[in-house]
Order: sequence, then structure tokens, then C-alpha cells
Amino acid sequence: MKKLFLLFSLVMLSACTSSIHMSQVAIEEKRINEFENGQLINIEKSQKNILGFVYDTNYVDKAYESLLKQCPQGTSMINVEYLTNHGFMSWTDKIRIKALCK
Amino acid sequence: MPIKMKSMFGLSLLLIGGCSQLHHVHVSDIDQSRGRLTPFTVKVNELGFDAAQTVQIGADVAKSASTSEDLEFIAFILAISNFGPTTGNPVYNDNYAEQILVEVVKACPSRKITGLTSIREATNIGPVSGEVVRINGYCIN
Repeated sequence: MKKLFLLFSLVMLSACTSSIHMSQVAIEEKRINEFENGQLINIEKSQKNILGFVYDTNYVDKAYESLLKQCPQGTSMINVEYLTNHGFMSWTDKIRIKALCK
Repeated sequence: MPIKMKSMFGLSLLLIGGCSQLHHVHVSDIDQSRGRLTPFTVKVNELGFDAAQTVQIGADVAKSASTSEDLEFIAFILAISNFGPTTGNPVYNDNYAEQILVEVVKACPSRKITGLTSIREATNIGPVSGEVVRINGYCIN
């Protein structure tokens, strides 16, 4: 029973931890009047790391390209979040962008 | 020293040793030419908990060698199960800062905002912490 409880606790404690490294908000002051009509968009790109080895290192560039595509008229406010989801001997780096587009 | 005294001493040390830690800060443009500025702050936080470190502390203070070995093994399993870079202690919810953009807009009803400062910080008490994302800024009145 004790061992079962220990195993259960271990599984619970090792469930998907994360770490937010940075969350930055910026504003385009010349376009502040566009808040009212702005459309909020969400972009998320990631890369999988297995023991530090990665094959897709341009996920930030992809997020940026996606932002340019979805907001051709530019943004009035933007939030960039950089975080890591932890896993078993591996982790996933993520970039999340939220922006108010015209 | 009796065990209760030791525990009290350890707990007091942890509480006294609680401190804030700055991880990242970013300051943007500030415009003081368009009116009076009123400061505002938006803050979101989440409980950070380093399970592996906690179990490791348990292993260090365990009385018997076999218990200590078992706990060290558990700490190892936890460490490799939550592998990867961290800023502060790990959290169990990666969406705690999701609403920060909306909250910033809400904090300034005039919607004229300048001088945004984005801060990532933590308040640590041993293996437990408050992981904080804070945005300071000014509303232009």
C-alpha cells in the first residue's frame, strides 16, 4: 500500500511541469486608437528537444512569419511569451504570440 | 538539539530566507509629452514547486540510510521526468500568464498606454515559490 501511494505520488509530481521564461508586452503608441476594432490573434510555435538535440531550430522565425501573414496591416499591441514544457528526458520550447491586429 | 527544535529552526530559516528574484525585465518607450501619466500594474502568478529538490531535502534529513537511498532514487526519477531549462521553479500550469494582454488593456480604460515594463520575477521560499509575471505601465490622461 505504501509503495502504491509512493508510486502514485511520483506519477502526480512528475506530471507535465512548465516554466515561463519571459512574457513581454509591447505597444505601438501611434496606433493606440485601433484597440477598439482590433482583432486578437494567437500564434504558437514549438520545437522538441530530446536531451538537447533538436532538428527544427527556426520555430521563432516561423512564429514571426505567421504574425506577418495574419497581421498584414501591422499590430497595435503584442504579447510574446517564451516557455518550456518539461518531459521525460526531453522538453518542448514554445513561443506564444498574442497580438491585436488592425 | 531535540528534533522539534531542529524542525522549528529549519522552518524559520526557510521563512526568513524567502526572497525575491528577478529573472527578466524589458522596458519600452515612454512618452511624457501627451498628458499626465497615471501608473498601473498588472500581475499574474502561479505556485512554483521543485519536487525533485524537495525529495532531495527529504533524503538529506532522512534518519535511515535505506530511506535516504529510496528518496534519492525518487528525486532522480522526478528530475529526469521534468527535464529541461527552467526559470525559477517549475509550475503545473503553463497558461497562468495567458490573460496578461487583456488585463493590461482593462487596467487602462482610456486605452492610451505608454512606458510598459515587462518583469518576470519570483518569490522563493525554499523549493516553493510564487512565479510572477508583472507588467507596469502608465495611462495617459
